[in-house]
Amino acid sequence: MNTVLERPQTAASTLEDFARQHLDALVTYAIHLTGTPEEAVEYVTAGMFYARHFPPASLQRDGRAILYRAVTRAARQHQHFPPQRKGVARLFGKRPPLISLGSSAADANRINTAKRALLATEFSRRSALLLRDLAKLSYREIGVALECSPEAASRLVAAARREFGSIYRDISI
Amino acid sequence: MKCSLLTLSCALDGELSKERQAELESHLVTCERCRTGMRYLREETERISQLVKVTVPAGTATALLERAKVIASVQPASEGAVIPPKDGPTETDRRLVEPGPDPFNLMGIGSQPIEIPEPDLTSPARPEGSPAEAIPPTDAAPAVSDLELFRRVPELDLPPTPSPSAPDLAMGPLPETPGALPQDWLIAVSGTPQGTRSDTPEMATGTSGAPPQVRDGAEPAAGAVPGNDLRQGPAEESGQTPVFMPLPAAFPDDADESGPPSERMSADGAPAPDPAAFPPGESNEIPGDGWADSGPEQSTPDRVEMMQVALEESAILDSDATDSHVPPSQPAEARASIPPPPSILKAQETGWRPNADLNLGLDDITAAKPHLDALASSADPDSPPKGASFTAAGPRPTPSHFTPVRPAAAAAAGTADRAAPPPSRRASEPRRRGQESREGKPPLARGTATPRSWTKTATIAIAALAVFLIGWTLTHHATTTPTPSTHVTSPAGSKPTPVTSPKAPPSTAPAITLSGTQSFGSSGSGYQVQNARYGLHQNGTQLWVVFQLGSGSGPPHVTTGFDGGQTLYVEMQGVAAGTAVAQPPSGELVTSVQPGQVPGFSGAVYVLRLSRAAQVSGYLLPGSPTGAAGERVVLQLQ
Repeated sequence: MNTVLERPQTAASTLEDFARQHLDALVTYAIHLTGTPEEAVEYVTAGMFYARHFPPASLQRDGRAILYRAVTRAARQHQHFPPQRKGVARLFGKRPPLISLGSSAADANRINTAKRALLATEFSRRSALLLRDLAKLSYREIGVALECSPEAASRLVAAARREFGSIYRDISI
Repeated sequence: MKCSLLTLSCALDGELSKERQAELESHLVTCERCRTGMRYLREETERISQLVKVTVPAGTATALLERAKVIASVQPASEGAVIPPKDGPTETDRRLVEPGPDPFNLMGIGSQPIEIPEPDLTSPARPEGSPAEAIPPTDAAPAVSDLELFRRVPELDLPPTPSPSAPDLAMGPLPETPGALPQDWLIAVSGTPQGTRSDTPEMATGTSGAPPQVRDGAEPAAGAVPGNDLRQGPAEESGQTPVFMPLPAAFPDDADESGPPSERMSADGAPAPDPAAFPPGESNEIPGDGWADSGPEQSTPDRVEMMQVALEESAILDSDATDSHVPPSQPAEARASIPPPPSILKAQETGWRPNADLNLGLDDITAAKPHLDALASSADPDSPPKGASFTAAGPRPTPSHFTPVRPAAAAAAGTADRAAPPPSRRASEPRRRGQESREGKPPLARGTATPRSWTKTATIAIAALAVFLIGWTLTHHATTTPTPSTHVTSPAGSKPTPVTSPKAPPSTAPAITLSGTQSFGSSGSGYQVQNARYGLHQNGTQLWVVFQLGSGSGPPHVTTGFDGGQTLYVEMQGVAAGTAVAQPPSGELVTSVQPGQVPGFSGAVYVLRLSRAAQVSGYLLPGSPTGAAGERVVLQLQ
């Protein structure tokens, strides 16, 4: 018989502390990563839901990076929370947004040249650029969030800056 | 040191070692290219860092963490958790957190409270060594789906039995004497045995194959087949230990039954017919029905109808047992000698009330079935002969096994009918073989959905699809302008449909007919054209024309369209035309840009003369290169 124990309550409290502390930055990161506040909220919720499975030791070791990892994973794999309807059913009855972020999200969602250029970049480069320049994560933390080595994270950031700058200068006039 | 963008990026982030940083600084003194690259990297870093930050209200954060189950929910989701905004409460902040899926609603049952009689756990009927403390009290109640299923089983036409308590559950009251539980109660709680309650759908539908729970600590009887409690005889009549097991969604195949056939009991307590006596291909499976087994994902109504069909099939098999084609395993006299239940005797005395609610246990139903057969064979004068057809106006053929017993007066009037021979097996054979149907429908294999449900589902799906297509067609054909998009191009090579400008009202002046119109923006206003700029992009293949607008509110509505092949009209609603704009350099695609007029149009209109036919796409960009407020109308021509 397989016995699955309930996760200790200390893990949940630690995760809650981390989540409350970095929720603004996580939502900001998700909004600029996905381009829509509704999806961003769903991805952040999915990431938090997934982060419940992280052991407390990884939370202690990696800190906020592991939350960014969970959110990035949810956005990369399009894991909405709650899950989206499948098949023809998704065409009928659009769900209202579960949680509204208010006017700040609308401001963040307003398109501009930098955001257009950002959304035109490739996902992993976009996430690396946002993690570095918006969330101010170190290369080691970016490596944790993107599940790669710090060296690969540095190359991703450099390539993302080059691509973003090229697109920005191309579309700006 | 070699020039490297990676090194520059790492230096910008402060991730280089001191030696490498000093080496790079000395390199930057001499390398103009790296200095330029470093400046670009700084600019892009600043642009990203200047993106708008989002502040999540405290209430929203709590709701989000509750939904993610990071923290325990303080307020039940079913009551609708209103997200309290921390600052600046808006209407959008007051949206409700959507409650989680209600399993009752998912099953189509509803969430009305159901009273479940509490069994006496301390009664001596409980097995020894299993104290009440060992039973989880929270899961002791039967699953609602099981109860609903059991409640709807009595749609069969059988006389009602009074049930003073718990009328919704069709379960009789608890007996006064412990250990003498009525059979209907036993079956009702057998869907969720005490202490073995499981919320899994397999357990709820009885398809998990879990062994039955035996009371009094006795081993299951030889004929006690898991999930086959409908075939199980009444405990009191057969003298066996009562067996409690999940209520099955459908009967398992006879091939699953174990033990010798003589030890298996039929519904009336007599030995069941031996499946081995059936010819190959004529067992419980109905050949040629064409319905695949859809497994346990059926809805409750399907399962109810399935049980009805299973009861009919069981009755057919029992009737087959008396036929010459199949050797009978039980004499008809022995079946007739079994006393009918009191409810049936009462029905015979008082008459039959069709479509009345039934408060009987399944054992009552199965035990009463042979007597119903006997009554039906004697009281059914409408049994059609073989090959008889039924018109729409005539009475529909009723299954002989569920033919209601007519009242005494009607039965007396139909003495001649009563003298008619009982329906032979010839009459029921086509039904069993799938040629004819129950009420004109093809018979079903066990565990399948009914064709009516499939027909309903297909009809609803087709209707929804038709409505969707009609709506989509009307929506997309109602607008003559395409969806505002930043990169919608109009093929200049193809012959576009001439579209009259929607902004031009009836006027004495001849209306301008524009073709290849595009629209973008919305209902902004308060703008004024300040200037126009021109630039080559995409290796000189595209000419971008940018109208710089002053500050205003909202994105303005812009419409572009061609008058002929080489004249492009740009209409900007809510924008005042400037006095003059800069002209494009000579030799470009656009030869001149002049303010124009369109009759009845209140906004700014600019006429662009082109040197050749071109494609145009446009979009809006907020702001200006200098950082001032405003909007930019960008037209890409190529």
